Amino acid sequence: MKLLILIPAYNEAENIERVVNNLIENYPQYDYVIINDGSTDATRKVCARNKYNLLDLPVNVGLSGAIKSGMRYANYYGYDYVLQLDGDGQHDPKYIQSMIDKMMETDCDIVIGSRFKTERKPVTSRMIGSQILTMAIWMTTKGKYIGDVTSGMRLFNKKMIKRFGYDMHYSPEPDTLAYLLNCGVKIEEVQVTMYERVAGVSYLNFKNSAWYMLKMLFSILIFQWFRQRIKE
Amino acid sequence: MSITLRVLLLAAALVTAAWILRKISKLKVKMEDAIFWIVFAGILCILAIFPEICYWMTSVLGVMSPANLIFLVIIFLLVEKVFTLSIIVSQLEDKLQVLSAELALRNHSAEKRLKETEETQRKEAPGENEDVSKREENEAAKG
Repeated sequence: MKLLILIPAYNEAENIERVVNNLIENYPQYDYVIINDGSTDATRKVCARNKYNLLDLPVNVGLSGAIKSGMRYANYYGYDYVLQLDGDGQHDPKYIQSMIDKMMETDCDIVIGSRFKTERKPVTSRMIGSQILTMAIWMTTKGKYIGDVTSGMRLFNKKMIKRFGYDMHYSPEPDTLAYLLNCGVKIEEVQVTMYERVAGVSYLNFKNSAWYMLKMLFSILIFQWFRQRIKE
Repeated sequence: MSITLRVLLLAAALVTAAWILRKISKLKVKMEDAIFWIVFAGILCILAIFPEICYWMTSVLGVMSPANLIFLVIIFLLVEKVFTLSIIVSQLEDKLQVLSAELALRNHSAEKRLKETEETQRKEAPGENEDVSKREENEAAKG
């Protein structure tokens, strides 16, 4: 079983060493690749200095472009599973094993590292947005429930690697989850704990969040009915 | 507002929406870029179905006739689209320049490093030139 840990990093010079050193020291059984998404800070230099395994994109293409590159990398080198892990240290690799176990156990295609599988969502503006998307997915997929739709910690199997690497509409976002559920793809969740980011800033401000919600709702409620369904 | 204009507007809206949704299913357009056209079609639909909105806006803005207002709205939306497209094209051109520069640069540095290693190998082992030439042949075959 070959598993690749995919670490998309955009301007994470302050965090990337901590995240990757932890992986190298404590989880040497997994391969990893950092996708540097055209960072404007020292991310590339930090990676080169430490001789990390780096896929260095020359220009910024956004998260979905970075994931697409990573999926193509995984397909090129023949990996069976891809685990997406954020470069800012929010995600703890200790949950990887339980996510793999879940995938083996239930024979599903995607496992989401969820903050809200067994725990309740706190009431913050971000979580209200997340709950709206959960409801939208629930409504459009005949009652399938995904607690943590925006979680960036996900495990994909080989079929999903091919889909995410080679199709225009597969962004690593909640709308793709809704679409995939309607294609008959099985998605499971595993309870994880996430940390607050230690350094750097999140890209989520009000304008970006509003645009994000608009995109997701349009995509889940309208566009997904017009996409060709590739059934599993 | 004549019934002909209303029917025309409705038809235009439906065709726009159907077209863009078809493009989505054919993987020709990203979904976020389709939002504008769906909203555009929606506005045309609303104006065609509820002409009262049109009459009200005509009186508020002091435009001569409702038809003029329809043109105004459409021109406004299209100008907005051209504006954002122009900005996006500029950014894409810049990205293309950076991309080709980076590609050339990285190619150059890779070739330079390859030459350097070959030279050091030649210096270290003058009798084993065969290996180097063999490897070069292999690489040429791969490339």
